[in-house]
Amino acid sequence: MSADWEMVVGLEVHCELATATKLFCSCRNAFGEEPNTNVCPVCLGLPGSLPVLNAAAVELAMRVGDALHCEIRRSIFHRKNYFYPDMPKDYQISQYDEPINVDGSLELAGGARVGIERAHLEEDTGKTTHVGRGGRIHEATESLVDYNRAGVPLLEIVSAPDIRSADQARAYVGELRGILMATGASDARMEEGSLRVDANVSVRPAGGAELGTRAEIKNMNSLRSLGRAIEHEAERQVALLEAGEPVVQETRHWNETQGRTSSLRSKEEAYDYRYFPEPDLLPVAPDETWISSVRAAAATLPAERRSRLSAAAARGRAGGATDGEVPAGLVATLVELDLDGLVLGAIDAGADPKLAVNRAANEAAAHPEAARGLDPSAFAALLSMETSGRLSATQAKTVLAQMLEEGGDPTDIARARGFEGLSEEALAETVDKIVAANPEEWERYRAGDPKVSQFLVGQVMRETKGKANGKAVMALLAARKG
Amino acid sequence: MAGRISRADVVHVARLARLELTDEELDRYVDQLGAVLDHAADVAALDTTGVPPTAHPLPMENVLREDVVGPSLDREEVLREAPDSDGARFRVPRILGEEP
Amino acid sequence: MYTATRSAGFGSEVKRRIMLGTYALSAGYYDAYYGQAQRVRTLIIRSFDAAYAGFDALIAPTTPTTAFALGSKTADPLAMYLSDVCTVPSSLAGHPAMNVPFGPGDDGLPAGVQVLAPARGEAVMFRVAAALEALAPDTPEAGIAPRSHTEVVR
Repeated sequence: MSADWEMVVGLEVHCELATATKLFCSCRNAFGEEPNTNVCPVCLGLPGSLPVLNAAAVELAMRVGDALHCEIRRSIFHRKNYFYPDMPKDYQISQYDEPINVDGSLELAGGARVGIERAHLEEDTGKTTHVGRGGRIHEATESLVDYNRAGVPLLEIVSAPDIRSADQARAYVGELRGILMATGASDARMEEGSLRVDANVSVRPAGGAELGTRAEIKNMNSLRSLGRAIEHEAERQVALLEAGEPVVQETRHWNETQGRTSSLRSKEEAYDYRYFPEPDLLPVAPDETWISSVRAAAATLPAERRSRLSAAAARGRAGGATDGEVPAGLVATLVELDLDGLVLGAIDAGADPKLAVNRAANEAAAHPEAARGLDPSAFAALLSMETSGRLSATQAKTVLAQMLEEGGDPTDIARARGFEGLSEEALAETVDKIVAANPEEWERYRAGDPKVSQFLVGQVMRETKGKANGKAVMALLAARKG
Repeated sequence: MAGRISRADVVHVARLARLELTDEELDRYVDQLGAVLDHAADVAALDTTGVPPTAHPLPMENVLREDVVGPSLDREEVLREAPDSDGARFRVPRILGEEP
Repeated sequence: MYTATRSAGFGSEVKRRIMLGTYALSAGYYDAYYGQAQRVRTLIIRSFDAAYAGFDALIAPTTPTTAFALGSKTADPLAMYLSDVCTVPSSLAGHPAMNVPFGPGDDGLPAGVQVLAPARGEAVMFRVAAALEALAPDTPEAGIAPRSHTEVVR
C-alpha cells in the first residue's frame, strides 16, 4: 500500500469460554463430539424452556475484562432477533448497550496500545454444514445442523479502530490469545473455531483524521489469513478510491485459495435486530468483593512475563551489572512457547543468561513440548559445560537434542558420546605439539597473520578428534604468542 | 379509525416476522392492528419525562447457576419430530442470502 | 422455509400478537411503543407502591364486564385485549393477584373479585382471598352444557 494512504482496522474477536457447561443450561461444553448429543430443551429453544446464567462464565468474563484493564460494570442481557437455522430460539441472547466490560486497552509487544471498547457475554450458535450438488458453497441445496455448540458461552471482544497494519493486527490477536490462555478463559484456537476474528477495515489519506467507509471481513481461519485478508482489502479499497469510486459498507467473505474478498451481503441497510432487554434473565451486578477477588487472583500476563525475562537476561552472570539487552523477538518467542520458566530457572541455577536465552530460543524451541518438561538445573548444568569449555557449541547442541528426545543427565550423555572435554593441561600440551610441528605457520601467526590462526586451530581440532573447544584454543594460542 | 398503521407497514412487519399473509388477511390485519395501535395512543399520551424504563420489575440480581454438567437429551428423541435428518443432524433447505 | 412453517403453524391470534410485538420493537418505533410502555410500567409500579404504603392488599373487579358468551368478541381483537385490563397491571409490576368467583352481576352472568398484593405478598393475598371466598354469594354456572374439547377450542 502506498505511503499516501493508511489503513484503519478494528477487530471483533469471538472467544469460546472454557467452562464445563453452556452459558444458559447444564449441557456439556465440548468440542468434536457426536452431533446433537449435548443438547436439551433450553439450548434447542424448545417452547417453555428458560435460561439460567452460568456463574463460571461470568467469572471468566471478569478475569479477561480485568486483564484488559476494563471497567467491570453492572450489565444486562438483550435479545438479538433474526432467523437462521443454527439459532433455534430465533434470537440470540447477547449484551447490547449495558455490557459487562467496557473501556479497556491492550498493549502490544512493541509498546503500541490498542483500545478495547467492550468485551461482552453472549451465546454461540449451532454449527451448519452446507451440502448438496458439487460440494461448493454456492451450489449447496441443503444444510445439516448440529446444536452441540448452540449455547456455548462466548466473550466478544471489540477493539477500537486503532490498528494500522496487518502485522499489528496479527500481533493484537497473538497477544489477546496469550491473555485468554493466561487467565484460563479459553484455549483460543483459531483453527478449531474457539477463537474467531472478524476485521473492520477502512482506509484514509495518510495522516487523516476522519474514518473512511468500512467493510467487515469474515472467514479468516488463521493468523496468516488475517494478515493477508486485511492487506488485500485495504489495497482493494485504495484502488476503488483512487479510481474515484466509493467504498460500499458491506460484509465481505475472505477466500483463502483465491486470495481475495467477495461481497456477502450489503450492509447498506443495517439488519433490524429489534434489540430489547431479555426478560428471562436478571441483571448481573458483581459486587466489590467479587471484583476484588478477580483482581487478586489475576494471572501473570504475557507482558509481565516478557519484562521479567528481559530483566533477568539483561543481567550478567551471577546477578552482575547489566550486560546488554536480549532481542525482544527472542523474549517474545520464549514467553509464547512457555519456555520463560525454563530460562529463568536455569539463570537462577547459575547459567549464563545470554547463553540460556539463545539455546532455549534456538535449539530447545524446536521441540517446545519436550523443552517445557526439561529440568532447569539439568539445563543449567549443560550450559555451564559449554561455558567452561568442556563442551564445544556443537557438542552442547547434540547433548541438548538428546536430552529433549530421550531425557537424561547432560554429564552422562556427554560421557557416553565420548564428549568428555579435554583437561586444560591436555589441551595446552596439544597446542604445544601443533605449534612445534608447524613452525612456519607459527611464525606467520606471531607476525600477525590473521588467517593462519584458523589453520592452527584446525590442526588442534584434528589432533583432538574434535574435542577441543575452538575458543579455548584461540585463547591458548594468543597467550602463547605473548 | 385505523390510520395508525399503513398497509406497507403491515407488509414490512410480516416480512420481518416471516409470516406470509393473503391479501384478505393483510386488509384484516391493517384494520385490527390499527385499532390496537390507536388505543396505544393513550399510553403515548402519558408524560414519562425523566421516568426510567423497567425491564425487570423485581429488585433481584445475580441469579446464577454452578458450572456443573447435567443430563442432556437422547439424540433419538431430539431428532424424532424433525421433518428431515441424516440420523445425526437436522436437515434443512439451504437459506441463501440470509447468513448473519 | 421459515415463512411457510410459521404461516401454516400459527393461528391468527398468535400471528396478530407476533406482528404487534415485531412492530413495537422495529427500527423507528421502539421508543414510541416499547420504550414508552416500559416507562409507563415504572409509573404503574410507583402507583402500586404508593397504594401499598397505606394498605396490605387491594381488591378490584377481575374483569371490566361480567362473563361474556363464548365467541361473542373474537371478531374484535381489541375488545378481547381490553378484557384483560384489570389483571395486566399486577403482571407488569411483578405482583401476585388471584380471582375469587363472586356471584352474579346484574345481568345474571358470573362475576369475579380479585385480590392484589405487593411483590412476595402471597401470604396476605391468600388470607384475604379466603376471607372473601367465605363471604361470596353463589356464583351461577355458565349455563352451557359441556362440549367436547375440540369444539370448544375451535
